[in-house]
Amino acid sequence: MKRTRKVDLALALVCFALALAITLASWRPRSQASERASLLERFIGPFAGLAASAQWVRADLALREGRFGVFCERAETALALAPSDPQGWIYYAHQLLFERASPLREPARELRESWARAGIELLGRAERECANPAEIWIYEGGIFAMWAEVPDEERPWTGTARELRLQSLEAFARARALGHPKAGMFEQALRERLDETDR
Amino acid sequence: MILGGLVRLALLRALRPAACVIGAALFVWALTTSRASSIALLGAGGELAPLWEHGARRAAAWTIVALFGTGWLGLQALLTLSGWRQRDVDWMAPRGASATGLVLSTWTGLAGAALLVGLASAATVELSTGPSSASWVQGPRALAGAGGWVESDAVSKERLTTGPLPRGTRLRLAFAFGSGGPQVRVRALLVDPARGSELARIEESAGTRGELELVLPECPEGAELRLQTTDPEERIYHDAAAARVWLPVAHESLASLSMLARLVLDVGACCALALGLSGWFSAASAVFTLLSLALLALLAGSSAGWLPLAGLGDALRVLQEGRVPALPSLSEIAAAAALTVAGLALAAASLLRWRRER
Repeated sequence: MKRTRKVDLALALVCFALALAITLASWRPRSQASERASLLERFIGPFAGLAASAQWVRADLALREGRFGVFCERAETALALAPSDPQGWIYYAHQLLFERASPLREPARELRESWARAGIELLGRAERECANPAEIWIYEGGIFAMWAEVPDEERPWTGTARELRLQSLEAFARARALGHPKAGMFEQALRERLDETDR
Repeated sequence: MILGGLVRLALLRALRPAACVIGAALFVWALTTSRASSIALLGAGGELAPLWEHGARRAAAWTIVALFGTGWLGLQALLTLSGWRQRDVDWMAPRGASATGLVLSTWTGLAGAALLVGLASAATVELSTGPSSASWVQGPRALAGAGGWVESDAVSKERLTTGPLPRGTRLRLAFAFGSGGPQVRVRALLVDPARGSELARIEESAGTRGELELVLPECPEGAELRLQTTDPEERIYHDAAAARVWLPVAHESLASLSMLARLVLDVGACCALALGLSGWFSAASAVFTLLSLALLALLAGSSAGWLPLAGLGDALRVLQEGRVPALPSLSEIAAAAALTVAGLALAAASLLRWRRER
């Protein structure tokens, strides 16, 4: 009996040593992505992405069933699990900025502005938490550029079209500074549009 | 004597200190870190936001209790019969208790553990969520028909089958397959057929798939629901089978009692099945089979709502809104009882076979 226990203990120690060796061998200097990983993501480790994907599927199901509140709660959990992927943030923000802030969905301008504000605040959180904030800046720049083209009375954001284009330019410039390959092209196109409207 | 001892033994083994400490730590973590997202609160609106605040905590805490409680107690049940074979045969065999008595005692201990865990969780959740406010409990199906297309030129009419409803009841309608635009606006009217007077009205966008909720005054029996879209180019399918009434209740804390009932029912069926499976399969096969069955039930959702665990997802979603999930239905109770009896019979039969083989 004692001998069996010793063998079990030895096996457990060998397994532990092996796991430690694999962990140390695969250790790399901390990248930006790992620095931005949430506590939950670090705790769950390699399963965080999988759990977040499952939660996104559940969030999407809630959205399809028209339960927007439940969608929000599930999306928040998915983002807490894996905040590094910018696409999750963009998908969530898209629902607020395009779906909820749409004049077809919400005729009251005040409410549409609330949804738009919530969407932009979400993008602000994304810039701080996701691994590739340049993608977020590009998306945000696109939103401001799009709103600049919307008639004043339908726009869910305060500010003139010119102010919005300037905000958009600033967002694209930040994305370019972070090395986004298409940011310069967007910035150039928007600058031309700004010159054209100023003339 | 031995049966009473087995009940106590199963209870103590199920609630061993290490498991209780880990479970309690997870539970407290869920309770203290869960908050409703500001965006969900914006969607809920000022009136319902406090309920969503409480609902987020309640849903997080009960998710931990339901999943870890059922998982842990199921595991204990799975290990019971193999444990008897390895450890307890010397003191159990000479006492000559009936096989049914043995498995029933163990199952009672495990179900008792579930009840204790559930009661402790319910008390902690309700104490920590603060003062309980009025809410709504999930009521019966509102309409008898299957539903149909809602268009602007023909008013779709359905009669409520719920009988008279108290003031403050909410009628939730579900729509799908909207076409003609990204946001299909629906006008819903509830009319008293005897007087021809309008009881409630709503006109909102349901997207291409979504829900609308009417707040009802005191509502007589047989009220008529009239639906139409506001734009002639838009149409949407009204899923009458999914329409539900939500009855007002004085305390949202009733949600925890409903979850407690569900927990005991689910754990009871799960443990009985685990006892039965472990009597005939190896430990690994029994764990795998039980996990597969639990996963199937959890994912089946409302399509097999009578199965134990199948209603858990819906109940947690209701909880998240700060509302009260319906108590388990008669079909759920009957299915859980049938599975429990089958599981215990399987376990008892395996013990009899084991005794014969020895």
